[in-house]
Amino acid sequence: MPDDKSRLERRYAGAQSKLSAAEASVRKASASALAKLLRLSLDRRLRVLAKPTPDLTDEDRERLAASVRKSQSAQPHPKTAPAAKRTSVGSWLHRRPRRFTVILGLTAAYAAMLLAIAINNTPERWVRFDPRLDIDARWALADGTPVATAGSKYQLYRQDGDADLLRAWIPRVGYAQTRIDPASLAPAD
Amino acid sequence: MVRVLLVTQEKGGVGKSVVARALAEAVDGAPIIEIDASPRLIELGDRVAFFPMRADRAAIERTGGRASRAEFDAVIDAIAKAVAPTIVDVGANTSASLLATLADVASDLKQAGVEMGVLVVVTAEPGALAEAPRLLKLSRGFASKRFVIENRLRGAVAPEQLEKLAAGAEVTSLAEQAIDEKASELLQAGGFASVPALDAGALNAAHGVALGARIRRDLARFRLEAMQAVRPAAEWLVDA
Repeated sequence: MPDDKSRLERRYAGAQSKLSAAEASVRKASASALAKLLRLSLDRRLRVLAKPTPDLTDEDRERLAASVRKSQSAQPHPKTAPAAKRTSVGSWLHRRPRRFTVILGLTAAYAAMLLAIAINNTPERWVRFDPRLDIDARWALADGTPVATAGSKYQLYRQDGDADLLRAWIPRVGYAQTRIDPASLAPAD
Repeated sequence: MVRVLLVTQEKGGVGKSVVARALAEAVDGAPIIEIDASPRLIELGDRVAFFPMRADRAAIERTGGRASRAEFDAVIDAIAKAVAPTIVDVGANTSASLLATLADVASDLKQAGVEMGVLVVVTAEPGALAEAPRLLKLSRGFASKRFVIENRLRGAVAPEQLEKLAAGAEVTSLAEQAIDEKASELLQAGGFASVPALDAGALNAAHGVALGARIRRDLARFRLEAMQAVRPAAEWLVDA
């Protein structure tokens, strides 16, 4: 019936206007909240934006974010090392130069120590016993434990007075060492 | 002829009562027949004629539907006596039995001047999706108009699946609603009927201006969107 249809239309129009009015109230409440937030310091506005802001509409949250960006760009630039301050490491270097120097020095000393150990333990060349001689070498581990070795090639890693120091790797045990007369050695193939 | 629209779905929790309430908002003053284990549409007062459904699903299945059909006599009499566009909110586990019974008495109802329509609410759940085509099929013989409302509270149904199950019924959708917890509590208590009468001052005093405004907006939006989802059915109901 026409009456029923027009009544229906009025119901839908009424529901729409209710929603429009409620949305206007939300926008008004949000604008009021935004006005208060815009008066806060930059740090406090940043803290607000770090969390959800249900009291702000999406548009007002964006306005608050824009105000933060504007405040940040208006801050004075640092006088030195501007590029370094853009990164967290650079910023730290800029703030604590003495601490940086100490850490750099310690790192360099540690690297030098590692290099010295590596050089000291690098063999000079590979050798083998002279096959014409019957040599009874006494091998021992670094702690002095006697040990037998197999193999025919050894690392000559240092000369110690009249003797050469040889080293041989024993799997799952470690390096064994022996002192030997240089005349007993021949170059390895 | 007077038109009677049945809101159906065998599966519970799909939003049938939301749809019935939205129809009640759209068709102001339309009588409502509620068939359920307990009354839900309390806020609608004397617009609602409540018919308790005592048979549970096990009894209905055990008796091949006879357990529930025995309780439909009063409902069918109420439908036959309708003098204005009427909404029938059919509770879960009752829709299929009622539609089967109505199919048996369709010619009598037509003779009494009643034109029937059926609205099936469907969600993206296997149970609801399986029941919808069955209910639409059961109503084919006597419903002059059929509607499907896709309630997206559990996500959207695939469009091709929706079109297939609707089988010619008019389809609308109700978007998933994100409403504030306080707004949800108010909706549970007063339904859509309470939304136009919400006291902004009291809400602001209780929850603050910002939350009070959001509660009113969420409820007004939910009410309007639900009314829009039922609009084709509401227009059919009053277009006799």
